[in-house]
Amino acid sequence: MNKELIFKQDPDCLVEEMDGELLLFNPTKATTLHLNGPSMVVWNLCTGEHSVAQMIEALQEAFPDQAEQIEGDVLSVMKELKENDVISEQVS
Amino acid sequence: MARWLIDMAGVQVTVVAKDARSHELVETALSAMDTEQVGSSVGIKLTLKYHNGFWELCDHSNKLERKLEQTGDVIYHLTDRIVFHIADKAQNVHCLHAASVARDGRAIVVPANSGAGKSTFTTWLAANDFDYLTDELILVNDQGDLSAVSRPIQIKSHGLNAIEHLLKEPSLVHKGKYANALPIECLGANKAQGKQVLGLFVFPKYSKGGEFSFKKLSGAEAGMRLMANHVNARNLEGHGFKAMMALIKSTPSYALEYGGFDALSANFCDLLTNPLQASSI
Repeated sequence: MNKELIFKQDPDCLVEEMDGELLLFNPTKATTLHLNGPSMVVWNLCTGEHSVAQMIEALQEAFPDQAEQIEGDVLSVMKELKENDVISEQVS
Repeated sequence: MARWLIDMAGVQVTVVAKDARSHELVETALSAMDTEQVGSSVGIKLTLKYHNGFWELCDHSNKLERKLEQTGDVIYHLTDRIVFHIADKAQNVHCLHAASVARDGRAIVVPANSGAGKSTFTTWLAANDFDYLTDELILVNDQGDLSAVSRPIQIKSHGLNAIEHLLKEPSLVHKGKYANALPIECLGANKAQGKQVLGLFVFPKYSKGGEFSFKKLSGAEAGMRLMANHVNARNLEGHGFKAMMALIKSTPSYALEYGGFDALSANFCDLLTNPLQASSI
């Protein structure tokens, strides 16, 4: 994944928060995605304002003891969000 | 000639038996369903005729015809068409690919894809004094009121061995090349009567020889599994997502993994009944 890309949440995606976890429903594909913990943080950062690289950097600053694994985790979550079509590239 | 009307969630299906043998078999197939005998066909028409040693089943809505030899297969295909049409066209209700049983007016709903052991598990529950609702399709409104397409339990042809010890009247089983049909009378079970309210979700996963586990699910985990078995989401406002999440929030949900009936010990009924009763408080 190109880390300079900027992503935003799909506005058609239906979101439900339950007991600190998130459920995302993609009405077009009729698929549901369950997010908790770090994957929720990544989802919430998909506002169309930050590149993937900026997201990784911000999280590494916030959690320096986990800095090494954060990049892989973020890329993995972004891949899953993209595959489920619940985020799309921000076109400038 | 005799006709039975099934009228559920705005969908009307008429089953027509064209001869005495067909009449008897349709009566068995529909014995647990709410039906009304009518003088003329209404809505979607399904006909059954016995001719030259074969059963001829026709779905007139799409001219789908089947020629079948064994009564278990006839019951399977006939009730499958009814389930299909209701799930396809039901209005203002959520159709869940799910089995269900009940106790004291509170229902356990068991959503699962084909092959997850839904019918086999339902057979075990019905044989253990839970009242039977369905092994295939549940209709739920936004208030959590249930109705079910009740048909004889369908056990795939290779699966009969696993449930044979639960049969009290084996002679009542209708065998088939594809599926065996078990009227609940062959288990000594009863059909759930009157209004049923949603009490518990159980999401089963059978794996041969697998370890038994019965774990409470978070709302999001249960919601994801439930939406995977919501079959008419496309017909509903907002795809039924918000309504299903509201049901999940108010209904305890568990994941069941098991490798056979031996793993479902006698106290498993208590494990099911306790949260079912707690949900009514």
